[in-house]
Amino acid sequence: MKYVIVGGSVTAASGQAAIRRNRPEADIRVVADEPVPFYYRPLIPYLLDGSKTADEILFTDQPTAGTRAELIHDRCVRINPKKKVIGLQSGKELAYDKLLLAAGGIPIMLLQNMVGLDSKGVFTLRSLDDAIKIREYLPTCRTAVIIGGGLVGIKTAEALMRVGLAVTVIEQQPQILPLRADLTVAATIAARLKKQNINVLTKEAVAEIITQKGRANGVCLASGGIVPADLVIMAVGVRANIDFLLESGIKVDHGVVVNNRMRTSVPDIYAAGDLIRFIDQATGEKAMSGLWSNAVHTGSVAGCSMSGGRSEMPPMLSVMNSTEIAGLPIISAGLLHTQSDQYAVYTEAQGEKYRKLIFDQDRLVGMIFLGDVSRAGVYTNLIRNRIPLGDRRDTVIREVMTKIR
Amino acid sequence: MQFLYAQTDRCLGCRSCEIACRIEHSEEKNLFSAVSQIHPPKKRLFVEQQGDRKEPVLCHHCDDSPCMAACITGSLYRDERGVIRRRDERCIGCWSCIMACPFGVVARDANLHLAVKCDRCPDREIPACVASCPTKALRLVDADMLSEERRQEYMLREEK
Repeated sequence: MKYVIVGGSVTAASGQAAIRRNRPEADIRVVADEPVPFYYRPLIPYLLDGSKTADEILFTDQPTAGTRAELIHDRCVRINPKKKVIGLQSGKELAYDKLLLAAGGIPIMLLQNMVGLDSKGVFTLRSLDDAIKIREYLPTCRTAVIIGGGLVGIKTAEALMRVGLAVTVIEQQPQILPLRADLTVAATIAARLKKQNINVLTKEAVAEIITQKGRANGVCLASGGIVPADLVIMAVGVRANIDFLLESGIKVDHGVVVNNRMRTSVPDIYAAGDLIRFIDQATGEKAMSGLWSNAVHTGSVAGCSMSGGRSEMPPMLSVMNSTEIAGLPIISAGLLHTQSDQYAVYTEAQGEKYRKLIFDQDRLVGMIFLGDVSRAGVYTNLIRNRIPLGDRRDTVIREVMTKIR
Repeated sequence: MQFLYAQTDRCLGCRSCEIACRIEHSEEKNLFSAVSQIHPPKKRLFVEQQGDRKEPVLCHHCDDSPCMAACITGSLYRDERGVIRRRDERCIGCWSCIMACPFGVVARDANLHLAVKCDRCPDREIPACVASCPTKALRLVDADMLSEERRQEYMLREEK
């Protein structure tokens, strides 16, 4: 049985491990387009200021080490389900009996035709290679603009601030971290960032990148202002890396459509990780996510299903994040922005510390903990598993709100 | 496979286990160090009380470990005893493990900027919490031994 995994990150790794558990003798090939070993992608911003080296962010346990799997550094460009082969960028073809699509996401390039987008000094930050290129470019820079105030944008801004650049974050929405924080939390974090001399602009868009001799040296805002920038980083998010599936007949709806065993609409092809579409347990709606733990879990379920095991997709959320920004820990999950009366919202603040719970009847559907994140997992799991709390609802509220430390 | 087992009807809520845990994870491994060192150690288990019921809530070193699945740095790993441990140099303090643990037993050490959880006392044969429990509510048990004990308890109950 030939197993082929397309993807070189954590989804592929957990898929590989699951196949190997069920089929110790399996022939597994991993097609990864980045010419580097497996690494912890969320850590790449730490490479920018040297707080981590590339070696320090590699997987300690490489999924293609020894005889575990054969690693092929190439890119899958097409799939032919009739012949059961995939086409690679190098021109080669690779036959499979079972195929796992774990190719993750690719950064969105806003406004493909924005003036100056192809000039020197404009980067995205998605891969180890991106991080190394930015780091090499840094000595020529004194100012930086991050387009996009999401998690990657903010983490990148902090790293660049640490190397001494004057950094501005530009976010189109009225708040930074629109997917992971409410207005209150975003304002607290923005204030902390400003204290560290990171300039944060919200409700602002970049109209064009100003260049001099082919190098970026500033951005022009839609509102008219100019922000100096020797370095421009596009951090406006990622989308599913599914362009290579277009002619395969695999059903796609924003992301790859899978059943609860991670099977796609085409026999013997499975998908997992950032490129699948699933149902968000908090909202009940179709969703995508770039969450690490979703990638680990779905990769594992897919690997298990492919190799004859029985395993089902766990309940998943598209928002379930934890991080620390400017010294403030923040954990948020589920629904964060509510307008309708359908939801009951409870908040408690103590200085910068803040907690928010959102209920739909007796079910917890959203939460934000800022400053004090203790026991957060208890509540993320109530959300993820849609636990009806009945008369324990008040106990939960009391526990969360009176125990801010 | 051994694991920590809390027999809740024996727990008095005396918190000896919490103190022992702190001492074991202090620099000098004594009470003085645990309370007086610059950054006092955090406890890794929590005696909780609801009504009359008291119980030490602790890390289960789950087979399907949500903390390990959530760890984005490779810091958390399973050691040869089956215990989930932390590689200090890898932990960046992102608190993903705190977000994932359904038992709420991973803590944030803000001073050291490390996620703190039960390591089942790698320097000891019997974990400090177990050794300190005056009522034997906390025990280190073998899975097979526990099922045998349960069967015997069941038989004794039938006899009554």
